[in-house]
Amino acid sequence: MRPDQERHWERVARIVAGDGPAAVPSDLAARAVDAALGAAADTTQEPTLLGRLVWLGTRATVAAFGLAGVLVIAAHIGGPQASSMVGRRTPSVVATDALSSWMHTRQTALEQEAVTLVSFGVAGEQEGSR
Amino acid sequence: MLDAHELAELFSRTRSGERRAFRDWVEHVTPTVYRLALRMLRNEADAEDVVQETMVRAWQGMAGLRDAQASLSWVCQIARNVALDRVRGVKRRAGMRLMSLDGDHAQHWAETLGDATRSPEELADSHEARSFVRAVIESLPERHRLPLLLCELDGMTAEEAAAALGCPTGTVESRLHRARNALGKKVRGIAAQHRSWRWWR
Repeated sequence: MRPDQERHWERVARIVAGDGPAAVPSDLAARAVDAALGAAADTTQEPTLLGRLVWLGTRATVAAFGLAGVLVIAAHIGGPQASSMVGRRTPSVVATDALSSWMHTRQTALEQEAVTLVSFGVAGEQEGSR
Repeated sequence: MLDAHELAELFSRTRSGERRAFRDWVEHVTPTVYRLALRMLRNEADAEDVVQETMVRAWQGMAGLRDAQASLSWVCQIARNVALDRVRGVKRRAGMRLMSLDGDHAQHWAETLGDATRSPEELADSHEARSFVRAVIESLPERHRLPLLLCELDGMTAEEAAAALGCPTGTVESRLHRARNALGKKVRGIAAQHRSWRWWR
């Protein structure tokens, strides 16, 4: 900048500075803090409507069918879809497998018991007829 | 006024969840964030909204900032993004009233600025002279306008303006230099236009 331009600028700068820096509202920082902390509290304390519905639904299902029922329902709804999406065994699939395996074992035991009882019964009848 | 080290210390305490430190940190960075937003949006109410939105995002995202020394430039980056969203959303709200640079008033003040017999103090007292200079500054492109306003009007140092604008200090200094040249050229151009117009008439 040439000296005459520099002087010209000095004049302009002093006029601009005459306006002074923008005054910051005195309570602005406090309001900003309240907004930030308030928003954080909202996100931690106020669940969304969907969140509330899922929570209420889960509680109602647990009350109606017990935890095992919820596990079976969750596994049936989410298990196959999740496992096909992810390509591996998800916790719900593992839960389903464990539950069906236990039911299968229980069923097998009951069947064997029934067969034993029936065979005893048949044997007893044959004994009695002799 | 805190120095960079103290501000970094304050931010580190804020990041660990200390609310009192967060209040102090916000108190310290708010003037810079507000003035940046005001210069970008030209509207006080919008600038205040930007400050609030910025601090909400800062509180939520501060765990992501590793370098505590960079907290001022980081929060200004958030503010610029929030302000840009607003600029896109509301193209131009009723902001400041500026003098038209085509009018007789502007041409009169362009000549008066070059008049060595008038002292800058005398001119600075004139609302119209200030209004004219502000109108010329507002007509500059943003890369020149913002450093000029932040440094000359808001009294920021080149380092502070660099943090606010997210560019190196050298870039702010060179833009400031170009902005001054552009401003002088514009004023001289308006004055010359006035002289030729008078001659033409």
